[in-house]
Amino acid sequence: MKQRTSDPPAPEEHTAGEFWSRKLEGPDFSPERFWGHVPEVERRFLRRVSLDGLSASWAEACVRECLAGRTPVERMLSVGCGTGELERTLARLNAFRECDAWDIAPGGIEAARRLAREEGFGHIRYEVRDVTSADLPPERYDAVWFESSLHHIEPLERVCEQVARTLKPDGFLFLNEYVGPSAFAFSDRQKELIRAAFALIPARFRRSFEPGGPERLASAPIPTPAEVRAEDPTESVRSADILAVVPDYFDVVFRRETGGTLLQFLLHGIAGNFHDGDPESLRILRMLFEIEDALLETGEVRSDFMVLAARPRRPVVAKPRRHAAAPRDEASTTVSIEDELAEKRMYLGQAEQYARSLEGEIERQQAEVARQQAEVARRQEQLLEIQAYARKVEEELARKQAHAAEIEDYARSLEAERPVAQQKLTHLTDSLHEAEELAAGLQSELAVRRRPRIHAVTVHHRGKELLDFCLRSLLAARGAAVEIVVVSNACQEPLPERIETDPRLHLLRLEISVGFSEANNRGVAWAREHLGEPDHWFFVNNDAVVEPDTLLRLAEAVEAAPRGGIAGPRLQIWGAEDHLNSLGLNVTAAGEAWDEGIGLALADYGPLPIRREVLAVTGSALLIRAATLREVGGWSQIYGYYMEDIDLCLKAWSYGWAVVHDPDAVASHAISATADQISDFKRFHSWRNQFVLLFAHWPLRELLRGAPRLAASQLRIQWLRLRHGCRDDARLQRRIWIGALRLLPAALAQRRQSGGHRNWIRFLRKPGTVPVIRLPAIPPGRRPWERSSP
Amino acid sequence: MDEERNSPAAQVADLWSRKLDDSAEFSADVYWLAVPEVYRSYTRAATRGRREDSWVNDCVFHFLAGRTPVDRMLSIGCGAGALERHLHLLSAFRECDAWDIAPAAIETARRLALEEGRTNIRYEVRDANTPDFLEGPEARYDAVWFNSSLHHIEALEPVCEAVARSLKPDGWLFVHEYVGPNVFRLTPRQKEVIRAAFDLIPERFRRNGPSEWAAAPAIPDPVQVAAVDPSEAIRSEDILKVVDHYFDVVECNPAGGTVLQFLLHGIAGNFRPEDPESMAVLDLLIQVEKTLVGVGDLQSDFVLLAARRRQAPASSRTAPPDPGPTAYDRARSWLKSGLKSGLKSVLLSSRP
Repeated sequence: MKQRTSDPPAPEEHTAGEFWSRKLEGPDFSPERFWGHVPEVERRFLRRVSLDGLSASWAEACVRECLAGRTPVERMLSVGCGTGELERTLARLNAFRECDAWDIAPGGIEAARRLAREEGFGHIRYEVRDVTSADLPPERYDAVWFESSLHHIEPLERVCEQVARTLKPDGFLFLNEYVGPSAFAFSDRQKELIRAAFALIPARFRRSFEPGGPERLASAPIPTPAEVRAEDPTESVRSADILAVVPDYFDVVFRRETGGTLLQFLLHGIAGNFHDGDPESLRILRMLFEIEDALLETGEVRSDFMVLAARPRRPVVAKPRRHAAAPRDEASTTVSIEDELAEKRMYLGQAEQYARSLEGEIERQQAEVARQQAEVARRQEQLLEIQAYARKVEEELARKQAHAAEIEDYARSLEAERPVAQQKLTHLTDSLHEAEELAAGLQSELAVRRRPRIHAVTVHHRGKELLDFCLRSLLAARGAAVEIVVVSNACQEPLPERIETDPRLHLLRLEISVGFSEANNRGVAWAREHLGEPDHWFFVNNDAVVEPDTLLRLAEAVEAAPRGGIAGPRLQIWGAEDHLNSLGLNVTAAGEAWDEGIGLALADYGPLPIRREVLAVTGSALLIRAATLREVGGWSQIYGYYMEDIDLCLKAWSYGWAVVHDPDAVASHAISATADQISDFKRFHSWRNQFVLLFAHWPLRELLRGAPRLAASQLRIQWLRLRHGCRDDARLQRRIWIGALRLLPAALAQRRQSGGHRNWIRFLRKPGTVPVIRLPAIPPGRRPWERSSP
Repeated sequence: MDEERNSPAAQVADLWSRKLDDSAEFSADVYWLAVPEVYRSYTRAATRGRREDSWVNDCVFHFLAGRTPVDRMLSIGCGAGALERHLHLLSAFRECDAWDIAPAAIETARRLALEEGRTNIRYEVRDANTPDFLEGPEARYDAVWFNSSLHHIEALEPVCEAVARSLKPDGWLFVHEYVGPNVFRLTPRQKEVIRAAFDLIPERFRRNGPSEWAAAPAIPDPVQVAAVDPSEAIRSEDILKVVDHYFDVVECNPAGGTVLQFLLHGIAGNFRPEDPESMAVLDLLIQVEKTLVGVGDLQSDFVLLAARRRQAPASSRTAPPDPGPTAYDRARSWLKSGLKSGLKSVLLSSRP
């Protein structure tokens, strides 16, 4: 488009025609101020218009693409021709025989006429004429051109209709126009983009060529619509409608977007900074092109400038009829015959001349024919070659087709096999499901069967509530099939109701009180007879409770140890569970025994030992493998009470079984719940049984080495007792000695039954290392024995 | 111990222990050079158009052509060790030392190297700002590499001097570095261009989250930069001057990044080859940077520099360049005040 100028129109310029007459001559369209005339911009414009790159102007591109083979056409029209550059270009291309060119600016027309004359183009007819008010004759022109003029036209529809009518049916409309927002009322985004792109231009390329303006432009000079209208009311008056109106009257052949959306105002007034003499300025310019191109490509903005070719919609009007020849005057016939004769002679001369030229042409054509015949011969050879090749290809094709047929046959046979295979697959899948179900069933059964069978035996004399606790904890055991035998050792009290109701509880009533060992043995015998042989036996005092997983852990401990025979849990003190009762039993070389850790708070004890082999575990809670129990022959009956657990463990060791203690299996034991303090009964049995143990198990050498010292200390204590008048104690000591001597034969008999392994010796402690034992005070209300009913 | 943990060096070591090459900060969604098209254009510029696959390949095949495998290389600020593994793939060295300040990065680098069976890379944790950083025999390395690490080093002069001594007479120094404004304090023109270029990006390519769009380019705040990483671009402006003093610079190729580094930060993921329109926009942005750097309107923030040991003995040289008490001390004092004010703002803002 032709750019507005910065200085407003002078008052005397009342019409757009006068305005443009002055303007076209001025510097507004110099390449220093007008973007479109910067050579690099022109090259880019051409790249976008001439797709084959062969044309030197947009007009040439249109002629090449739309009027090829028709030029020179009869007549063209250029509307808004200005100084006539377009027509002269077309004339140089020999595009027409005649051309009309109109503009409203007399100054422009004058210049155009002068320039056309200088080039000798007499077949262009320039006129000052306003197309908006013109009535154009129908089907007169082969092409109508608008170059930057349609956007100045307000009655677009009327002009389009007129142009469509005046075009021949095969005529063309060519536009090179600004089609952006009317009156340059750009969108905010477009203005933002123009400003952003302007900011990218380095300051030294912002020198202003605008007379009277600042030396450098600080921002892109985007005019407001009001400014535009004030300067030239026709400026882009309905430019935004052009693309909508034109297709109503024409069929668009092509549209070439030529950009300008950013560049028009981006370069306005500073265009002169970008010239071919400064390569860096061209780099900047190409960057700006790149920006505009990318934004057009992404659809962020539309092209504000457009080159467009279109054909009129048919039919516009009916074809006017041609006039018949006028009748001739008789009087002038002779003259006219002579004239005609002369004319005919002239024609004849012309025809002869023409015939001569045709002869030359015939020679040329004959030469051409000869050349073409040679060419035909060459082509025929080529054809033969190609045919040979085609035969080869056909053979190959036939082979391939045969092969394809084979493959198809094979595919069909495979397809036929498919149902059978599918059936097989279904069958196999079914079998697989069955097998899986079976496996699942077997696995669950295995899980049931894997649960170790454990028979728990507890001897009960008194304390119904405690027994109830004990039984409840046993019944809650997890992971093992537990049967519980309660041996009622001459119990006079009522028993917990639970025994009657729970099928896993079994009662063996002994009317006459027997020793702990004997009661246990009877319980085992009864269970063997009535319940069968278990995997393990669990002996537990009626004043002890176990955790739900204690039995399972002990069974695992026994099974995990190499030849594990007996396992004991970590015993805590019932009511003071943060204190230890037993982590296994310690025994000295002199037969003194005590519980590891007894009475110590867990926090004081330090880190608990890991699962380990020990000499013995306490009989308060003890799990023994059924095979072990069979091999050692049950509990020894010579002890009566106390020490029989050590005896059992030593017998197990002597038969090559191991005794382990597992601190992760937990049970709680009510200390002193069943016997009061240290009674004579307890002292008698435990001291006497110390000797029995020595007799029954100690190797002879150990026995002989320890005996003098033991005897000396016993005698010394006895002498001290007598001297200080502790006659009861002295008497008790005498009874112990006698009792021990009485049991000597039985002990020796048992010694002979021992299995012979003595590897437990390594666990023996030094005599006299028994620690002082302090039991914790159990707060009232937590004492388990106080739970028993009166 | 606590003091040590709070010292800037420890902060830097800790930061770069977490910020490894494969962390989210370096993904193609946010990191400009992870966009293939940008990386290709960047590499073309950095290698004078010789390659577009990798600047490392160019160093090896152009400058070390015919000499590889060399005896021994050193990589300073190796991070998780991508450079050394790359060099190993090219069979560029027989042995390689590689140091970094971040223990976790070194740990990762060791693990990755061992996983791939590379036993001739020796990784060590070292701080380049300590005086005895590069003790040892002179003239033992055939090549020393700084890959985006020199701009984290404050003691440029001692480090360059030590590196120059450790190079063999025919050894090479390769520096691939940010050399733009200290602490990312961008020039007004740079900021203007970044903002303008950002305005050119159609809104649909400014997405920086599942349903978020960036409203403005991510121009860094120097105070925050220094608070997050006190070593960030600590004397980046001085690098070219100092390197030029201690070495004979053979090539110093501007690779760009002046605009794109910040412009694409966070929105890099919008530009994908499968979306031709996004690539058109990306090409435009690349072109903008290339043009403005090309006509000298902007400096290149990144360079690839290849230099040789000075052939003249070091003593015959004039005194080392004035370390720029202006630039150096300005950076330091500014950094301190920046840290202080940063701290202050944090404290004030945390008050209820």
